Amino acid sequence: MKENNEHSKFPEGEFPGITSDLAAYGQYLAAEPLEVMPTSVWEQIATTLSLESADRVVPDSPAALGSDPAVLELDSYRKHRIGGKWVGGLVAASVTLFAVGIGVNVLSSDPVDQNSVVAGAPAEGVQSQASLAATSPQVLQAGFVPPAVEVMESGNDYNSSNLRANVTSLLGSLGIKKPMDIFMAPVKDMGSHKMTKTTGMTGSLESLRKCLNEITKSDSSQAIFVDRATFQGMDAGVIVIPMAMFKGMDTHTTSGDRMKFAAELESSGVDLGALDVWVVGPNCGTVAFDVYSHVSHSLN
Amino acid sequence: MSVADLRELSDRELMAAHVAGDSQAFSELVSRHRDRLWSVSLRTTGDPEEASDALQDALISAFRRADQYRGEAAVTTWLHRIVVNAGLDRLRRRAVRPTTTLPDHNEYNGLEIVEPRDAIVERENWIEISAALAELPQDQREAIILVDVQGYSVEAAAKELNCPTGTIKSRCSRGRAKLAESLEHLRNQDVGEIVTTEDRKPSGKTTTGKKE
Repeated sequence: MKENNEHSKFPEGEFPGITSDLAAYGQYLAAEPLEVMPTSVWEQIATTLSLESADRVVPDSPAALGSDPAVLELDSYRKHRIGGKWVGGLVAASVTLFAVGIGVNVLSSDPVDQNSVVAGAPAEGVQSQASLAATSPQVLQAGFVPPAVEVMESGNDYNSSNLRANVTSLLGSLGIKKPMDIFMAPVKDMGSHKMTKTTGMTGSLESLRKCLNEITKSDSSQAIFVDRATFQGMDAGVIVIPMAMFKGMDTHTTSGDRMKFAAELESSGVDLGALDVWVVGPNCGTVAFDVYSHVSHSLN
Repeated sequence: MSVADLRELSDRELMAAHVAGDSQAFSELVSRHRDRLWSVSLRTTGDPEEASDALQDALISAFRRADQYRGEAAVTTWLHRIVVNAGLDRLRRRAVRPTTTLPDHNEYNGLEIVEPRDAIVERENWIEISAALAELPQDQREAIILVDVQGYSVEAAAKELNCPTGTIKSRCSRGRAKLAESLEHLRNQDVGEIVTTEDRKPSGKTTTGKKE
């Protein structure tokens, strides 16, 4: 950081006491050890930056063109801004908990795996490009990997204190209470729950797929669940993804392969219960990928 | 660009990506250095609440002014300066000098002898310097922070602030003169003094403004 040289000491002998004090002050500011930023401060800053980013209109973006109805939701964020400063409780994040567990063999081609859905074949109850709010029968397009095992609106109001506990509770309600359960989790059709929010990340399977792709950089990844809920009282989404399943699994592994893979991972010391929990803005996958919180969690 | 891809980028590349419109590049940059930035803000203001607000001010400013980053200093150096400036602005707006609460020394029965330049005294001095810097005119403060606090050469500071080297010298000179006056009491401290905790107890609180 320092770029000190003789030029910085001009004029010779001018207030040497002051300049040495200021140099010492500079060392004090930059010195180790560093203070750890409190989680609450980081969340507020992350939210501020996300909202700042949402305010920024990049030419030719959907926001600039006004082509996406989700853009309208940005106005609700701005209303919470006071004098250019974001207020703590404003976190309008739509908390999306994505379990990033790719390939929970959800799309297994194993004909004996009754819990799997065959990728590339139409699957009843799931509809690509359809609003998740729709309750009519849905059809999954060939090659389209459902972005989450479950998409729900739990009604939870998440915050940094209750985030992990609520995730654990929802996983339990899905029958996932220990790490291996992630690999054995039955696959349910998306859209099985009636969604009331028809815009933004859970507005369609495509937008949710894009949102998950932003996080995992994989179009075959799959979250354990996505919960369109609230974060500190405001619209948000929570996404939970199992870390161990993120690498090494593909959408065609059978149930047996899946368990074998899990056992191998476990024997090599991998924490199968490790989860990646993302809290994202409601426009994830549509206008902007806004991250309001990102924490690690574990079923262990 | 995915979060994973962003993590592979250097600080400068993240800045470039942010300026180019990437929505997550700046957050990744801040996340990478968040403890350092927090430390700088906390040490500048001496108060967690002020530090939080100052850091937020600074990062919004940096977010919006990223295109002004010239790439001549490290990104962290650039951010560091903005955070210090935001903290000092906060101190100035607060109008009154900051105060700090001393630790409770009851357990020592007032008999413990401590060095005068211990962490507490030193901490008070840093807050004094922060407060004095906060009172400088913006242009002088910028020059002092770059040259005397961050150790830039005059030439580098001139480039950073986009003004002639003579202007930097002039601003530093005037700023130092003001600081010499406002911080004179620090230079006159009796470094040989030994204080006891009894000496500290009556107030329990120390005002870090100019001492009588």
